[in-house]
Amino acid sequence: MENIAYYNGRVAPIEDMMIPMNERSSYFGDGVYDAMFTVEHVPLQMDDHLRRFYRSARRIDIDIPMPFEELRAMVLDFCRQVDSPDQMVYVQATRGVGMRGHAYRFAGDKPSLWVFVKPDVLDPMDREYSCITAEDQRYFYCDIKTINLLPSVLYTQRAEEAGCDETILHRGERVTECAHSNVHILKDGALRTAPCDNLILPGITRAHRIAQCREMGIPVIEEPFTVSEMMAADEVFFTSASALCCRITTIDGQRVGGRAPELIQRIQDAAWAEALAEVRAIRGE
Amino acid sequence: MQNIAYYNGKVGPIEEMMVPMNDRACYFGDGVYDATCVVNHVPMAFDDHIDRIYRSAKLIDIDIPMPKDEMKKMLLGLIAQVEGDVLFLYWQVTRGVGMRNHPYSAAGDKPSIWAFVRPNKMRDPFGVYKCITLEDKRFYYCNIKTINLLPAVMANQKAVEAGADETIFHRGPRVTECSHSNVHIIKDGVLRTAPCDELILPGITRKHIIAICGKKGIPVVEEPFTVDEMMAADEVFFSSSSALTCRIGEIDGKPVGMKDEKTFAAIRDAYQAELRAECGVK
Repeated sequence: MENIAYYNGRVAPIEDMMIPMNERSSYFGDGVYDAMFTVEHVPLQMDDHLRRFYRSARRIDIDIPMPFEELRAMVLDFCRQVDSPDQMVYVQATRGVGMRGHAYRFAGDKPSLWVFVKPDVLDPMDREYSCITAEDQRYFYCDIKTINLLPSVLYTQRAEEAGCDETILHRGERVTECAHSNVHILKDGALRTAPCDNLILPGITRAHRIAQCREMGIPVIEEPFTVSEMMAADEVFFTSASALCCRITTIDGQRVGGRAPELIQRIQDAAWAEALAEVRAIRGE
Repeated sequence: MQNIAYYNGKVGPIEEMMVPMNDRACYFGDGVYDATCVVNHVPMAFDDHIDRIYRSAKLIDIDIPMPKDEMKKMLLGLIAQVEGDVLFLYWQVTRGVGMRNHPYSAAGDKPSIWAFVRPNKMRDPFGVYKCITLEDKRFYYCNIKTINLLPAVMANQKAVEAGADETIFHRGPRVTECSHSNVHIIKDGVLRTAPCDELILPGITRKHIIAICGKKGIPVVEEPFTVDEMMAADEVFFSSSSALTCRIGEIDGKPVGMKDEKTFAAIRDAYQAELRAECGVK
């Protein structure tokens, strides 16, 4: 089939799936999510994403109403059913359904589980990306993957209006992350990336690039870096579930990076090799 | 009927109303709302709330696909169908329906309009309320009434678990507002309340309170105040469209305020009288 949606036991095409108005997502964005991209019907880093999904839910006191293994099997089954081998897999848990009231007790007795799988593709690694920057005006819960995403919507829109791919956010001088990805720089042979605090999402792809850099003997510095340092870096790139390692060459109309092409190529090659190895492993299960 | 919901032209009981999974509310909280109490089927400060939702929508680039007059008519039509002397009116506008993707272009060609009306109980205007305080970790769009309310949900839950009525937020020493109301203090006969910047919602009850103070000769200082100043104030109270004015007698377990009932009562009684007149209550 073309795509598939799941909501609390019901299955339908995404466009036809209806949910109660009294879902807590409707009034509060009271939920968490995660997202994965597939290669050959296999979601990359699935276990990491699903583990983070359960962790995010716990952070806002939601108990996901399905065991990990069952959700994992359901996701894989949906991925096999959708025709396109290249997909986006989206999972979401909300506090539940009930008359609008802030406190948890209004949310009914069971959290809701949502899933959809639709055709989508990874951001290609063989092109150059352009970004804009904006002051980061988001909340201080950026380490939790919640569906309070209105600022990310606004920032992404600004990028699109500027003909760019992403918006890099900064709190004052300090670079945090992008509207929906992490951002990293290469300088003097080392990877520099913001530390995991409440200002950034602990990206799964970020963690994998860090681990691979360490394996390859590339030093990793997890410390805040500034906008000026980014503009003067040897390379700048962003990562997300859909962007394994995407090279940024323009920021706010200025050329950036381009001074360590071989190093970033190594990181991209390693990322792709890891993805393929993972697909083979899961398909062999 | 007992309650009523509206979604893009569909009408039915709230509990039965279904909306598309692909509405932008579901994935992004990509919308704005407003709400008010309805007494004798008259929504309080209706025009203020209508104006504010159009302003909120504009601030996040949503063009509400219904003129103000028509929206008022539609909402009054819903109110007319629900029984009860005291009701709660809620309505929201989301960017629209479409496959999940951040940019506006994914939101389809028309924003969604949602509304519901249900029975309500108003807080006792003569009650004395308890609050807790929490560091304000919300975003810098607090002046827009968006449905990105997860921090408000969690803060409110903390209050409930502490046996309190509201949570007062502060950014460092500076008091901002509560999880779903504004907070004010009275000191030496002067009303002090945070200024309207991106850290607080420009409350409609707040606005009316300030106007009342003007009429009554109570000086108003719209400048930031600190947690310490609040703890040492003569009176502390919170305000919202459903709370109106609620006097606070305890914060984080410590007694506060309750030292200038005359000034507080003047404000409370004047606003109650204003609303009684507006809603035709004797």
